[in-house]
Amino acid sequence: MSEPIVQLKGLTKKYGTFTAVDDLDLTVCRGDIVGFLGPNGAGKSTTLRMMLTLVKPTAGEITIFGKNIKHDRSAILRKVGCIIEKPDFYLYLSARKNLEIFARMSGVDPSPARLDEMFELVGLSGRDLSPVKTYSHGMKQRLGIAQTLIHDPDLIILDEPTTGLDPQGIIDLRHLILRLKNDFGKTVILSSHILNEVELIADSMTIINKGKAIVQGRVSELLSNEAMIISAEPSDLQLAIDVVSGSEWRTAYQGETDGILTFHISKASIPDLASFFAQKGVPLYSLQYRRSLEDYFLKLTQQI
Amino acid sequence: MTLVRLELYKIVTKPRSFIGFAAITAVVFVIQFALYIDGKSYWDFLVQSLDKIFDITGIVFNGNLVCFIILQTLLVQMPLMIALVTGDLVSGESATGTIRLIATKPVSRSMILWSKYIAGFIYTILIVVWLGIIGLGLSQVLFGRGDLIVLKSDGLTVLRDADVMWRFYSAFFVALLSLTLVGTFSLMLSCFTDNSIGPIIITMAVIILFTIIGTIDIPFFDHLKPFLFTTHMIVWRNLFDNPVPMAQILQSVLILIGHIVAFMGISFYHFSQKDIQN
Repeated sequence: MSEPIVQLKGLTKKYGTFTAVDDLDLTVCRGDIVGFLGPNGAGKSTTLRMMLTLVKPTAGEITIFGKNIKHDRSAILRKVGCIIEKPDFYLYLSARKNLEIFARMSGVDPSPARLDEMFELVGLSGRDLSPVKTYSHGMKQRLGIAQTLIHDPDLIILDEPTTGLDPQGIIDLRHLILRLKNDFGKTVILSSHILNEVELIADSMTIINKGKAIVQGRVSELLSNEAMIISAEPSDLQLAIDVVSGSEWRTAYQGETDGILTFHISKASIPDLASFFAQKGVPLYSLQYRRSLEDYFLKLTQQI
Repeated sequence: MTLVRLELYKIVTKPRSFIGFAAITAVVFVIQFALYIDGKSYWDFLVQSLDKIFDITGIVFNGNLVCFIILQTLLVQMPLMIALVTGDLVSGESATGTIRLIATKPVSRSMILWSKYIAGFIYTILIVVWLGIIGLGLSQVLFGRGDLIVLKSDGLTVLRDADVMWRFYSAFFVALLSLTLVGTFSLMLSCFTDNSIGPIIITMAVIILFTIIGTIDIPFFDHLKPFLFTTHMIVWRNLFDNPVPMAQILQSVLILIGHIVAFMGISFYHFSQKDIQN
């Protein structure tokens, strides 16, 4: 395990009697892409806002780069880039001027070449002199990414960064995040509702619900412990249901939808299930398995 | 300095920042034009009741008098022009969401607010200087200089030309202080809301309310008047009395400064403590 660069200990935020974040502990290691997941109102944004000093914690400690955010705010934030919820800019100014302003506020005086590089990176070359009010939401999102990276931060916090991006934009962003980690050794905290995005690129993940962390760990390890979802399409549906109901597979059987039987079993049991149907004289048209973070996420947050 | 420059840049690139300059220019030009065309009739109307008592001779209708008329007319409306800009400095960023981005930068919240205060103050200075240039300078060029006759409800004061300029400079200084107070007040309100129009409207509502209370001669209001900042904002007029009531003016100046410090203190405390949720 590499060096931890973000450590939250007992982080709590209360609004009156409502507890938005409840005694949250979280560790993020250098060079990781960390997925930060949770249903709406789980406390993700509040947690990220506390890390960025937008919101004051009721209790707990935030340590980033080994320094307490309360005492070394400026030194920490100089090395952090972020988009929180949606990227908002000065609409009456050009994208280039906006980028220049936010770079200067981050303590960097960007050269024209650096600005060009950023616009090139996010695919906005040629539009840098247009006022931001003429930008689509997706373009603003791209500009937000450029704003996040302009001062070359070590830690990047992205709250729902794919919102408003077209499919190609989402793929480009995914590649960009992977490139930031692989080529530049950046650490990325990625909060997203598109759980598949997290599954595809995150090294580790934290799922929070009702302000509490309910799962933390490496994505590969967390998902390997989980039963898979197997979809079997039998040639004779009724016969298949009958033989399953009278066998040891009935406990793994989840039900039938549109002629497809669903089972929750381990990956190792898939050949046994296929053999079982063959032995019972029920040929299968197809047998598919999936193991998605979305299923895992929904299961943990008790929505299924 | 970088932050102040950025704030000034934001002010300069907003169209609303020029409304104040345009309005002052328009009002001054209209007054100057009207007085240039028919100033004699206006003067005759003003002094008609005094003609029987005094024998007024010489060039009494001059640039100094025009400037005095302009100041009396404009200093009532100028708070709106200042509030239009300063009332939007924080709440405008909250309304558009850019405050969220700014507050995650390695700059303390007090530095952010200081830069806005300084930029707002520079804007106020520029407005007052512009008023001085076209209200006083241009009037003196167009109408010439001379003794200033200040008409009051209980008589008139004649001030020699050589004795007038320091009074105008002092009046512009007090006006600057008053408008700084207005800017500070609206910027303070701006820290409490995410709506960019609210602080401007509230600032004007408070000034109108206080001015009305200060104008109505009801004994109950007499007790309140010393506590209203609007009472002290118009103290510049006393600079054209003879002799000048310096103690009273100094007291009002200190009260204006006290208000500015109090409003700034409240805004700094609130802005540094507030959760940025929008």
